[in-house]
Amino acid sequence: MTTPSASRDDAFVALLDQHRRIVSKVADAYSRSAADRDDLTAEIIAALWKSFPRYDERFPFSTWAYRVALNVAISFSRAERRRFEHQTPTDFALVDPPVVDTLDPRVAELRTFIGTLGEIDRALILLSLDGYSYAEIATTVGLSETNVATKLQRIRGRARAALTASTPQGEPHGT
Amino acid sequence: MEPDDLDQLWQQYDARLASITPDPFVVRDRTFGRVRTTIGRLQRGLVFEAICDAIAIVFLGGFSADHFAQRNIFAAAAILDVFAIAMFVSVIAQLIAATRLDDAAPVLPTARALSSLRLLRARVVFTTLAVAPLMWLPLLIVAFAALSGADVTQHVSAAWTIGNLAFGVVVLGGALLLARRFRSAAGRPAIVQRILDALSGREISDAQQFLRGLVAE
Repeated sequence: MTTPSASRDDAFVALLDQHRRIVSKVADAYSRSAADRDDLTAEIIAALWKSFPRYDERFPFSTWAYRVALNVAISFSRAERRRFEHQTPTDFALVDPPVVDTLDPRVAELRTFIGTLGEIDRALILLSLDGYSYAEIATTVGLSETNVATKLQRIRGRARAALTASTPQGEPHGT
Repeated sequence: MEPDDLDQLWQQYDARLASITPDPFVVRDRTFGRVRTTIGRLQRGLVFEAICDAIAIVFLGGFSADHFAQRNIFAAAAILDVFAIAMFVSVIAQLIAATRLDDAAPVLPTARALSSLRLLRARVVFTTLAVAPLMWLPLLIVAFAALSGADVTQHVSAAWTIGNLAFGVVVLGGALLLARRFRSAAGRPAIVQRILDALSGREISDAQQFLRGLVAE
């Protein structure tokens, strides 16, 4: 016989499985080392599980999960910041070296750029790059749509400038 | 670089994540309900502080009442009791703020609420650390009376009492000076760095700065 609790766990795990990359992306964007990221990943999953009974199924799980993940990540990031203030932001220990080698080097540069942004700007660019509309981002973050649009234009402009500046002239990008 | 290029790079990254993201079916047994979040740890810490403060308030209240006739012991216990009550009130205020935080609420208001809580906590920790050296003399009087039943102030001179108060002031001044002087050097144990940050006022100024940034968003 399945208990309500077991049923809830199963439903949660199934939904999380579909959207698990949200957890990884947020954890990666708000941590500064592989160990830090693993801790944050565990905290986000724990917070999602704890908040899951209050999840309203009329709304998409992905935006709800993003909201919880970002809130946990920002509180984690503020708490852990002092520990890492003498380190460079965001190492690239996310994946094994052979996997990194197959990625466009600009992916690492984009991740580094995201790591230099403030907590709220980081949330905005993550949601934007994941294809969320201004309206969805505004609801998730708690800003007006106009404000989101203005901020994202500025952040994307800075990202493009950062990637262009770090690319040697005439050197083709790997794909 | 066109805006679309950013999205394409992100898609590459997103595709790679699929191979390394932890499988919820695998992590469920070791993660769900077992890992405490930063806020969860803070809440538990605050509950523990509230319990300790409540015990101190009850003990010191009873102790004050028992020694009402002994002026110096009563005054010392009353001072400590007021300090414990102030701590208890501040802990309850923090606990209320912490329990109101909702992980599923919009990000910016939650970050502002969290930041306000951090600022309150930083102020409380600073005040506690700053007042603690001045509590040395009342603590000594109460501890001596509790352990031996005697009034230590009856066996010492006024100069001794004033000297001990001055000692607390000197410890406080020295600690503030040292914290400001050595707050930014690297490589210290985390707990030492946290005390230095709290005493030097850095924790407060950082929290204020972060909150101002969030309010300006």
